Amino acid sequence: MRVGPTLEQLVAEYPGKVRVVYKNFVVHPDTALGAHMATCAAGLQGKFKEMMHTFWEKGYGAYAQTRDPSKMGEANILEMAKGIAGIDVARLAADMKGQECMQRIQSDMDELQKFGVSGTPAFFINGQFVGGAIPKDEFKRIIDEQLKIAEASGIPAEQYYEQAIMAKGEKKFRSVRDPKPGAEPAAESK
Amino acid sequence: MIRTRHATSFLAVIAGAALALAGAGCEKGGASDAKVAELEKRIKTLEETNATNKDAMAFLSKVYDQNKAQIEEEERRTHAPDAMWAVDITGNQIDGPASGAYVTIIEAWDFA
Repeated sequence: MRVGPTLEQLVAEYPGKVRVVYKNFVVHPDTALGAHMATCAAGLQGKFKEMMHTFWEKGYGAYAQTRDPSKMGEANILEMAKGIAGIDVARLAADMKGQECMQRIQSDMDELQKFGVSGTPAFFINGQFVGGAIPKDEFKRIIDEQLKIAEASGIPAEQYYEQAIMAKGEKKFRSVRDPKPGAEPAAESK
Repeated sequence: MIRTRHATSFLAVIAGAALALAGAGCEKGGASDAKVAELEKRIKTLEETNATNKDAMAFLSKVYDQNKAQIEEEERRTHAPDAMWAVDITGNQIDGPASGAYVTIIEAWDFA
């Protein structure tokens, strides 16, 4: 499901305060892996967003209507890429097959699976998990809440994610049944 | 199972009472024979009811165990709502300020 436009609006509505980090989670590698490789490869040329937008509109959009897998294929991707200003299509084609992007995607998926992600879209907002798409107002409610906490923390914004989230956050998935680290385990009910 | 055990105990009491009455019947003659027969009939009815309930209870117990296991499995996959996770974002594409943003939204995304 495409939530990119909502996220881009949020970045624009909270200038300098909100950023969106994109992590690949390929649920259907047989159809979508090539497209992920292409966006990664475009990113190496600073054209990640352009490629993602183009593909959503002309690649995935056409595929969703026709279920024709060639719409998600390399030939169509490279054809679409020709419409992106300033992109080197030959380099894109080479990078789409390269190890760098494959490793990037694999690394993203490993990291997300470590935290229990099993589908898309899924979000971590300052480390808080949100499974599935939510309305823009709900994003804003969480952002406002997190901004209050962050601004009151005394930590400079440049260091906030590292100091408040990476340093203090949990390092692996914990379910609703598991005790919080450091908490006494609840007695098993009979 | 608890209900079944209770029902079994109850039957034992009834059976005991029936035997006691039967003993008394021996002393008092034919008038009590009808009461013993009535009690035996009631015991039989209770035994039949108990047998039916035993099957129903076993079935309900199985359904309950299955539902419980399903809920537990679902909970094992549900993220703890009070958790904050340290997701590494090194090397990822970012929209907005690369640093200096107080709020970081990580999207796990796919063309799907």
